[in-house]
Amino acid sequence: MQSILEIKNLKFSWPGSSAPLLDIESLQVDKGESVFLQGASGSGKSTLLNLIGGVLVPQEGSVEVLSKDLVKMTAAERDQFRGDHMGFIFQMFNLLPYFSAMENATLPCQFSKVKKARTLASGGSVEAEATRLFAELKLGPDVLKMKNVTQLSVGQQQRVAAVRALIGKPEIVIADEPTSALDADIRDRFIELLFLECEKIEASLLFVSHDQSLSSRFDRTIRLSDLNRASQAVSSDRELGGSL
Amino acid sequence: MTVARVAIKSLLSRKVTTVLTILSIALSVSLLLGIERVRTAARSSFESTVSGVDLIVGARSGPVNLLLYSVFRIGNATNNISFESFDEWSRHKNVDWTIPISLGDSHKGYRVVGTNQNYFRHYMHSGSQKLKFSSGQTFEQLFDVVIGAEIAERLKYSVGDRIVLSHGSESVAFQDHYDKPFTIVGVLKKTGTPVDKSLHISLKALRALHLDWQSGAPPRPGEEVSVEEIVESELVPSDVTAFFVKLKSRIAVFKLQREINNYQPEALMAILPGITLRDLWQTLGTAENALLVVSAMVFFVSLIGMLIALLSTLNERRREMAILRSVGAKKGFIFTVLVFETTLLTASGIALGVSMLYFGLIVGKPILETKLGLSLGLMAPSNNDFFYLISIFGGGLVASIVPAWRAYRNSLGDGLTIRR
Ligand SMILES: Nc1ncnc2c1ncn2[C@@H]1O[C@H](COP(=O)(O)OP(=O)(O)OP(=O)(O)O)[C@@H](O)[C@H]1O
Ligand SMILES: [Mg+2]
Repeated sequence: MQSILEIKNLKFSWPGSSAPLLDIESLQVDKGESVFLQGASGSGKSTLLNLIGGVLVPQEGSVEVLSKDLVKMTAAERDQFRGDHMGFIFQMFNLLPYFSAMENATLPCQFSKVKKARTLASGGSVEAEATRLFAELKLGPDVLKMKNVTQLSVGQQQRVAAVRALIGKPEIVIADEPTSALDADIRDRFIELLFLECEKIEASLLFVSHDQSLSSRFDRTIRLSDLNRASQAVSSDRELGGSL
Repeated sequence: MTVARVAIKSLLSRKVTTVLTILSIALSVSLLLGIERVRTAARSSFESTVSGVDLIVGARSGPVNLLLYSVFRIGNATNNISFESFDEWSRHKNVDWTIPISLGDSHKGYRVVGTNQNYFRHYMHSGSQKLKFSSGQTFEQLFDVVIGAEIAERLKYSVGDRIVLSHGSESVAFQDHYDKPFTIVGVLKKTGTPVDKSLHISLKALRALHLDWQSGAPPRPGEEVSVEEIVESELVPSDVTAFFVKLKSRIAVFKLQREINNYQPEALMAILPGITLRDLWQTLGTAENALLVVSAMVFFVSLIGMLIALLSTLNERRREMAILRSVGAKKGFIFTVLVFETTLLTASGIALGVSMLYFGLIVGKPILETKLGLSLGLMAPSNNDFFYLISIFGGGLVASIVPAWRAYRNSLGDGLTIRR
């Protein structure tokens, strides 16, 4: 099995703090694998995703995505690499308020030639591909035409964000608590659709949540506290904070 | 994805702040340039109050004082000069022509100038503009008067009207020359100089008014001389207040000035009007500079306003920046978007400000011309204007660095996740 992500001996601490927040000996994700990353609030899940996305750089160790070490790249190369090979969905505020749903969804193709080329290769235009994805995610033409995306429901906004994460067939889709703002019913449908689409484009899915009940559908569940050697030392107060 | 598209869409999504920011820049631009226009116009109109005159001669006092009463008709001469001196210098071999100026009387606060035909033939203002009549002509009969444009307008006088002059000037006029009324025979065109506020009569008429006066005191009862009793040959003026001199060749100007200053029979002083006008303007220059400082401050405040407007939206925009970064936007992109936005704001502000200025000039031109005698040409922006515009633009660019840098820093610290 080809590995998509490989982290080795990673150590990261935020500037100004003495103790490392993350100390991970190894983390490996295969192509097409879906991974559920579970951890308490404040345990460093989002920080880890920023490291994988190449926005943050660890003080030690390597972060290899598609066999390329992000740590060795320049900042601009990392930005480009992220645009070309990853798709992101966040908990909230996924959309640029002054762009339409279509403009938001096709944003990655504006920044990445790779994604644009892949989208065009699947036939038709970028807009046609987005329209197809919208339909798969059960977003009708009325949503597409909506000028003001802030008028969409949170569930609709998350699906527009999913279209944006999926367009251009990224190798890895990273979702940071994308369902926390959704109620149970909508959440399950959303995850269902996300899984389906990731399978179609053979993307690995890295899904972060503190909601244990979602873990059963994933190929693998990782507890950050098991993975992170730094968490043992400081976990007590973090776990406490997280349960609030 | 172009920087321009993100910047413009983002600006449009904050319409109110955007419009207000542009408006405040526009206002300060038009204010700055407008003040600059008025300033240069005021200066040039001031410096060309009298032109084509090489020397102004009066009794010995301060040069500025002489200029003030002879040209601006402000204040009074401490002494007059004798008509003989005036006559002698008028016939000097280097002198082309002279214009006598005799002050002392007034009409409803406007000064009366006793002079001769040379005044209408040679007096020049605003470069090489001669005096022109809007109606009527110069004085011919003894009790004829030619009035300036402002007097005609304010007092609603026209050719044929009869008026009475008063002895003394302005507020201290105490005795009317009721017995010797004047007929208006000419109204001059607007000049934007003190000529507009003057009444012009002949030296003989001025003499006739005071024939029966004894050393500045009104005639005693029984000693009045009526109009019918006046004998033309007796109307020889005894003195004049000052006179303007035009030389045949300007080369002799300093030589003649020295000769006049050293004139033995009487203490005279000759000044070069251009130099004294400039000196006087320099004294008034403090007010001029204050204007400039005020407009510079207005501009500074509007830049701060723009900075505040941009910085206050920056917090909301952290999400925007995080989203852009998640789809592969580089850090430089964030920075450029912010700088571009400011540039766009400043540029639109400048464009709007300049259009507002020209609109104001078109609307305000006639008012300024008639009310203040200031002629503001609709000329293209001067080099000076461009200097101001470029500094404003540069100021905007420099100010944009602050929010741009903060957005850039934020996007580093925030990463892809905004915790709000
Ligand atoms: N920009 C930052 N600068 C400094 N410290 C930070 C920053 N972002 C996060 N941290 C710290 O890093 C730790 C982990 O934060 P992180 O957001 O990764 O947690 P998380 O697991 O995603 O939590 P949650 O489930 O609440 O989103 C926290 O203690 C936080 O204070
Ligand atoms: Mg988080």
